[in-house]
Amino acid sequence: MNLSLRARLLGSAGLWSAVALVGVGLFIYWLFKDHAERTFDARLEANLLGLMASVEFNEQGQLIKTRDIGGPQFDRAYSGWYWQIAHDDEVLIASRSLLNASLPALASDAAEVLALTGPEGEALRARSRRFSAPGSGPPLSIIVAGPQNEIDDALSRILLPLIASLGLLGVGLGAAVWWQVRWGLKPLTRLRRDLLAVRQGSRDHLAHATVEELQPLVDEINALVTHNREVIARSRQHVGNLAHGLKTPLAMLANSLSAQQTHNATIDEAMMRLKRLVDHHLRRARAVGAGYHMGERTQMATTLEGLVSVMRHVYARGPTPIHITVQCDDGLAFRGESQDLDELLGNLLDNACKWARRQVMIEVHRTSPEQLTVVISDDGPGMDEAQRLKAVERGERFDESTPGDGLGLAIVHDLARLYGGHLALAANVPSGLRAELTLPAT
Amino acid sequence: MRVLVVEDEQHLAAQMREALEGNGFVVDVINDGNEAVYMGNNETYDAAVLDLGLPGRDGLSVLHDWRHNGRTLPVVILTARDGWSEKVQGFRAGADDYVTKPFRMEEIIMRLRALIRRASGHADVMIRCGALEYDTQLGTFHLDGLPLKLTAFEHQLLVYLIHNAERVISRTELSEHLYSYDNDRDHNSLEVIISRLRRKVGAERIETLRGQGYRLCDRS
Repeated sequence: MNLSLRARLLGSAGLWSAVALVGVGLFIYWLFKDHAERTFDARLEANLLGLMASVEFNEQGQLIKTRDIGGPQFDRAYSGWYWQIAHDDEVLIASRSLLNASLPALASDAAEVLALTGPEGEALRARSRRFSAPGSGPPLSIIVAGPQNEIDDALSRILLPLIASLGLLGVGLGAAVWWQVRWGLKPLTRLRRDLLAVRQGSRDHLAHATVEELQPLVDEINALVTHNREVIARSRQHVGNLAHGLKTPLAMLANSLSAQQTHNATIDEAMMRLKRLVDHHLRRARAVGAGYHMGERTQMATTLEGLVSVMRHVYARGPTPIHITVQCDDGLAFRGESQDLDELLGNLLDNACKWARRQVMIEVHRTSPEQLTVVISDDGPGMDEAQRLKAVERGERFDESTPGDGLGLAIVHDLARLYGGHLALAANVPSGLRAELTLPAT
Repeated sequence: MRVLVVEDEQHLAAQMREALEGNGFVVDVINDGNEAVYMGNNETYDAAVLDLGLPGRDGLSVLHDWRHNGRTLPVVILTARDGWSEKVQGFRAGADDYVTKPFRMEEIIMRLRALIRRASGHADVMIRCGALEYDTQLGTFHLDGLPLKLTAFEHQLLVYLIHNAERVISRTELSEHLYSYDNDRDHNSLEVIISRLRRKVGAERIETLRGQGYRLCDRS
């Protein structure tokens, strides 16, 4: 069953409480009913014994009452309280409440307690006995009956309070269970919130668990996060070392070729392709690690400040220095690795500065609680629709006259996608390129 | 102009030495980070080329050390790792420019010339002193619009003088910028070269201030 923990706990507790409450309710009802019936029967028995003791046969063989017994209810017509003494089918003497009616004759094997129907069709509860009265006379049978609905009334009077109080108890129990589950599961809820924070990068590790049962889980997750981070750092280190290892001999080769003045177009072309291949695959390899790590956050302002200072140095060497303006919301952070952010913004900025005539503008805003947008625009020649499409697709190099490997925008596009963001290129007004990069924020 | 090259790969370092010396620079080559720290802090250089991946002590820490000790010489870093993070770190540590491996020697030379020119306060790529002109991109002198023929040492001396035109330069300062670490500093030969230069650019352009040094000035 794929029920949540909460549903499991609440469901099982609720079911058990309901069964227990109904069981207890039935038991109490039964106890009360039994008690009411016993009390009623005791009254009947008392009257029965009283009657038996107060009748006798006189000398004429008639059955007579020697004194009044029972209460006035036996005198009120059809009060529901009746008695009668009979010999076989012949009623010898009966209570006044019966008037001319009579109770059914007793079968010879009748039980001591029995249910009868009264003269008005009402249900009666009766007690009977066979006995002999003093004096000489035939054997007698006596029935004392009382209204069944007196018991029923008493029962129905307690039914509502019983249900109400048990219901109240049920509600109380339910609330207690709900609170207990909530309180019991609180550490889990906290853990989930912490995990989310780690994933979103607002913290880098899970806090120590407040309950000992969860500590092993927290330790495991923390170890996993750390391991993940280490693997990425290590693979980046490897990639970097590979780059270093490949490029130094490549530089030597290129330089000794140019020193020997053997300007051969085929060799130049091959060298160029080698360099670009190395660049391309190293960068793609680097990008693979991106987007999968947890708990990283990088301040936008710090990264921008570093990159802008690089650009100001590097592009100061041109004939007209490029003016770079930065507009960044305070405290805005990227949910990801700082190296990746360097890569994303560095390539975009480099591209903008490379082509700009005078001005490069950077604007960073939070566009939603989970997202930020970086807009980098220049006043250079810009690109037409087809070029923009190509730039993002494959990292084609359009203009060989400005140094650069043409991979930059494609790398940014790929990296941004790995982070669940995207890069959109558009024409800037009045001229130039406007790159809009959407990234996850924290 | 005297340049410190810090590169652990011997062949590449040799190539750089050759290319730089061929273009009028005086070059010291160091292969190790710790030694680079010492040389940068104790010798006088007009610029440095610093590889970031060094044995012993990495380039960033070398650069930090130089800047910490108040060395303001322009520094070009060589990076093999593409990636902006390393460049940002380099510039944070005080780099002035970067070149990514693999590179062409012309690129390094161009960057160095531009950095040295800007460090000595010249905004324009052409440095002029009257009719004498120095093209910092090509590394050539013209006098009255005609190319000036100079020997390698004369060229080195005049490059230093024209970058520091109108300033009195002592012999010690001159020799610090014109001789590499391994060369003996010979003040007498300096004097010989100065007098030969005077003949080529006009005696009045190079003033001798007794007991102080030399001054290249615009007498036109």
